[in-house]
Amino acid sequence: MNDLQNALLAGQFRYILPEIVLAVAATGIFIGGTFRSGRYLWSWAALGSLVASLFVLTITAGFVLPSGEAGRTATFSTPLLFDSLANFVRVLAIVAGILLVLFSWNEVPDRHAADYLACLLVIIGGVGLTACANDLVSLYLALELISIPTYILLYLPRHDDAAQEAALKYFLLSIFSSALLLFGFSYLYGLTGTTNIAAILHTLYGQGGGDMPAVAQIALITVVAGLGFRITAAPFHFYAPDVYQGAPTVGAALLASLPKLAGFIALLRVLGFVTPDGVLVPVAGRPHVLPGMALSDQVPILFWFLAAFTMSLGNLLAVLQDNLKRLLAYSSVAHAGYMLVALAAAPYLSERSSGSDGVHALLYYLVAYGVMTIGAFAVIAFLSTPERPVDNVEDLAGLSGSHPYVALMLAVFMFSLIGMPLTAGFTGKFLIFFGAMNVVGEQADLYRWLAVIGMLNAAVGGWYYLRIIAVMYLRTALRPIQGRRNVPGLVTLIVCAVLTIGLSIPPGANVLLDAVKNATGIKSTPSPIAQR
Amino acid sequence: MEFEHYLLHVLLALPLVGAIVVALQGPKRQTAVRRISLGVSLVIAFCSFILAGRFMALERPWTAPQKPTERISTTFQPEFVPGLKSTALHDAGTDWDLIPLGAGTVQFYLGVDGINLFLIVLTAVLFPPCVLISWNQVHERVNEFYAWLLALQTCVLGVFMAFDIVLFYVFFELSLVPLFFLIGIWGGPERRYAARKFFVYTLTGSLLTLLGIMGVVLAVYSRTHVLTFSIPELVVLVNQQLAIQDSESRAYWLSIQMVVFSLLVAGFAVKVPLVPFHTWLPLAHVEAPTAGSVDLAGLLLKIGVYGFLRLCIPLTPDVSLAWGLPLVTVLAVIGIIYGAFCAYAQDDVKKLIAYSSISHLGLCMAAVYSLTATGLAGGLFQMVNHGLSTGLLFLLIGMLYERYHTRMLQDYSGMATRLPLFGFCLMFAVLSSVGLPGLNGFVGEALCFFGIMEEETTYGGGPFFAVVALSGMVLGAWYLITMVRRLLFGPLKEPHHDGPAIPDMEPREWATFLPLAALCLLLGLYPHPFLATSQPDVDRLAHLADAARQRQQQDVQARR
Amino acid sequence: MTPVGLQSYLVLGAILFGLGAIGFLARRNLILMFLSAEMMVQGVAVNLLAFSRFRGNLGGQVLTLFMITVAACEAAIALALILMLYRRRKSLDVSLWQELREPDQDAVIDEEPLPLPPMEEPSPRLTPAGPAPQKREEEVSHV
Repeated sequence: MNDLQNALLAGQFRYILPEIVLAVAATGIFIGGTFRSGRYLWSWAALGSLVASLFVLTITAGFVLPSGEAGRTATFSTPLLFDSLANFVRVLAIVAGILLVLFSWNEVPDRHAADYLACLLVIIGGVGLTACANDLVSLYLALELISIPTYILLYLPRHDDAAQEAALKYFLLSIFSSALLLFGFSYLYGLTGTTNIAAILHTLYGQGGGDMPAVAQIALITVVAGLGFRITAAPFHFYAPDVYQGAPTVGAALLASLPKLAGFIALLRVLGFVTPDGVLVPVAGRPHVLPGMALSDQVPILFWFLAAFTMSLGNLLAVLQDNLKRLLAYSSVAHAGYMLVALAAAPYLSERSSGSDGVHALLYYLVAYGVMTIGAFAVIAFLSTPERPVDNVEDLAGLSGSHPYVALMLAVFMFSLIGMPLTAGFTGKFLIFFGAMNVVGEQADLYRWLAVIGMLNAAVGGWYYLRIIAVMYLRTALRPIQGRRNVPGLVTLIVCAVLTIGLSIPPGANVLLDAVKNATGIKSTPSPIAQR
Repeated sequence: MEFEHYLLHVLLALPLVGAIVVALQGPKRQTAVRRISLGVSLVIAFCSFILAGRFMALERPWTAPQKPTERISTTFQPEFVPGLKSTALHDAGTDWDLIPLGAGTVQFYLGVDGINLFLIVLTAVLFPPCVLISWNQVHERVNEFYAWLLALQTCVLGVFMAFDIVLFYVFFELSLVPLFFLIGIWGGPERRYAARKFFVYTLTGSLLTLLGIMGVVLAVYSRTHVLTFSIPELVVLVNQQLAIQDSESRAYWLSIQMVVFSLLVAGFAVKVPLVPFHTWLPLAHVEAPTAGSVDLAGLLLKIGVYGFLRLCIPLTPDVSLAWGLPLVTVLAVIGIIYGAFCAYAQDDVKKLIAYSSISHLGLCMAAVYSLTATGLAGGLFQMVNHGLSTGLLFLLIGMLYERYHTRMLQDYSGMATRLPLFGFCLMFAVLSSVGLPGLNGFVGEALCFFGIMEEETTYGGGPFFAVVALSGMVLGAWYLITMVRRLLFGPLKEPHHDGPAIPDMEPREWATFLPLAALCLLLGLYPHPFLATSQPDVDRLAHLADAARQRQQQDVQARR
Repeated sequence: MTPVGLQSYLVLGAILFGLGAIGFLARRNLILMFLSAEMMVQGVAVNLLAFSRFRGNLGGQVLTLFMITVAACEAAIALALILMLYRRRKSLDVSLWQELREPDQDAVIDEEPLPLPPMEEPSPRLTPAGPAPQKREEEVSHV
């Protein structure tokens, strides 16, 4: 520990002001909730703190990050690193948080609202910290900061058997996955002797892949398994259908978006798909290692199988479902599969500037998927009333007659999930499969097959998403859906629908693509110091 | 920007605007909805005629290129492109950028050339009859019906006009959505299943097509470091690469073409449909409302053939020749015969015409895949013909169904005495469809046969296929005339109906029938302007195919 | 006496982890499942401490400390959750919670149910020293 490190460590606090704002607000709401109940009050408070956090984030993003020698020291010693990827994800998390608060405005009972919203704020902060984490310790803590409030959040809004069962299942499997992840972390630490992720990757890349000890493979597999739970990659997906079905709709929407975001970002960081400056430096006399292959050169093939298996399983099982939330859960698994295609192709694309880097595609798809899936869950929540719940696909019959605009928006989300043009789902799939087709060399055929598998899956997906559209438009209702007045819910819907379309056509698409490119722009050139 | 450039926008935007306006009218104001739709579709038809006139007045000479690398002559030269043609590398592009993607840009690149002009006109012409025929047939959710109909027109026009490969795909896939709703909401008893089957079937194919599109773009990128989505640019670059006399490059491009060809064919063959992939078509036709059937047969199936012409042949000429020619020709010829026999066996008139579409499009595909100038021209001409005559048939069957609510052949007999004018119209449409000299079908079919005959490859199968195809056409005459005999002649048997006597053709129905009939007659008697206009572009395609033939011969010689 | 090497610690850690995983998958008692998961974490802790000693720095020990802290948090939530579940089913048997499953799948019927917990001795009743406190309606509805 020298003075520079101390100064850098002390300086970290001003960068995590957005998360501090969220944590303080959450604490305030927790305490305040014991005195005053009432969901509107605390929803406004949560919304205000999220907006404040976003505002603080825009200010802190402008702070000059240490560069030169200090920057290098920061990269290899500080627990948190504030690069553009981190800021991108933090913005995403806060925006998702705002949407979820609006979504849950009228969903949570008054006496639990404060606890619920405070937990939500902590989760958002956790996602932000996951994106910044540069140390196994901080990464683990950030991930737990997402998990622990999630258990409570799944349990709070509803107290029936199904919700309790869902909370229990999620809890047990989450601690199991945490243990797996930690086991991998312990081997990573053992391999390199440090818990700093940048330093770990630097050491691993310096060893040149190839002749890694078996321990590295074990670490890889357990880390992927541990994070696979969060991104619902098969075969670690099996909790998802039960939990989504049993959990309150808000909880399901949250589970489909935020943990997935955090899980993928953690994968990008730990496996070295995205590295800070100065980490991925060619070492003389060692073979050049592609990004993401720090632990093993088998990483792409691992993700290849994971992707193919995940999307096929998710889509095929989704065809069999009647329960809407269960169907969306399997769809969530399937979409995790598409995202894994991007990861599988990412190492080979890092040096080809043809427009679709795997990581870009992944980030774009995460945004697109988040928007459309939150929107789809929001429709379910918007239409459900205790007297006339919307549980099964058949319950949506005749929606186009009773709620034409809501039906139209749900149709937009469904078409986006299918991947029809003019929706974000299409642009996302386009980027991902463009990347997969772009792999050259020996692996080219392998990835072409993966793309074909992916497209066939998308077509299977067409079958069950279309079923929802068909029920809404081609059938008449047995019992008309009442719905109720719920302005914030409607706002959530409209925002999601506008984003789903807006992010795929020129102004919106260009903004998002630029943002995604900036987010991973850090690894362009090694810094001069690193080349010493 | 000149006047014509705006025409393309009007053609693309007007139906969409019309759709939105109509949708906002609400289901109550039925008459207003119908009138607006009719007005919009008439304006579009009018614009398309102006467009055709302006285009046919252009001087577009074409000379075979001296060197295979010559840019202008080896690729499509769309006219009336909105936006500025940028000068540098992209003389085949526009400055209307949509989404930048790495080094390339997806552009809003529209245009007209000899291949798509008449398909655009066909699209524009087929819609007013669709609006008119639905006037009394559709009573529920009228505003939505016409909105989807007009949206469908935008998509189809977009497919035909697009010269950017991604834009093409976007319209290609979007065209499924309106038809899904048209079949699903206003269709027959099995409509939900039919709509979903139609959608998923074509979706599967078109998603694979998307991969093929990506494959060719990326192959060009990895060899030339130009990332472009402009179809003319891609055609130039691909054919320049193919002309390179280098065994490594040859092997690479052969394998790439194989991949791209199989992926592209997956989508287009479902759309055409070629025989093993046709099962969605009869179902969708039978269940669709009349306007949906007309659009499906008249336009949507053409998109498949058009895809072969626009993308498959110019981007994968070698494999199209080596694999596509035998494969597609065999499938197409099987389709001709199979479709004819299936059609004969049908009792449902609509199903009969649906199977006849399979048969006729088989002929189109066989002609296109003869890869000769005559065959390509014949295929193109036959596409338009089939759109007109099958459109007419579906319209007339729709009128009959509107009167008696049955389409079963055994319910009818001797209707010519009961509805003489209708009988005349039906006879006219059938004769146009079977290729009576003097009507449009004859010219197209003759050109197709010449093309198939002309085709000389190492297989020497041309004449054989021509004979089989010709017998298919004879079969076509057989089942269509049989249908007419059972329907119109013999002892009178009128299906049961309540209320007043059934009227013969009404003025509205004449307005549906006459324009299309006039076009049939015009194309049959004086096809020259049509053929002359599409000549240069067809020659370009044929030239690309000829270059592939030369390469194939060189390969054969090199192997000896 | 030979010094105990790094490998032995790693093997110990792996065994603990594996036993925990097996226990987690095989046990049916909620609390035991949770404890098995904790045992997996202890295996990791052994690993980390061994590596920390072997590498000569404190990184592993720091991570271990945080792990233990987080485990305590999780235990708090786990016990609260398990208590709620126990109140509803009057049992800790996890196989009683099968409401959520695939639509066409039958519930797994238990061949040998967990032995019932021994009857508790009734606790001595105190004579009430005043009127029982009135419960608010809201609370009653949720218990």
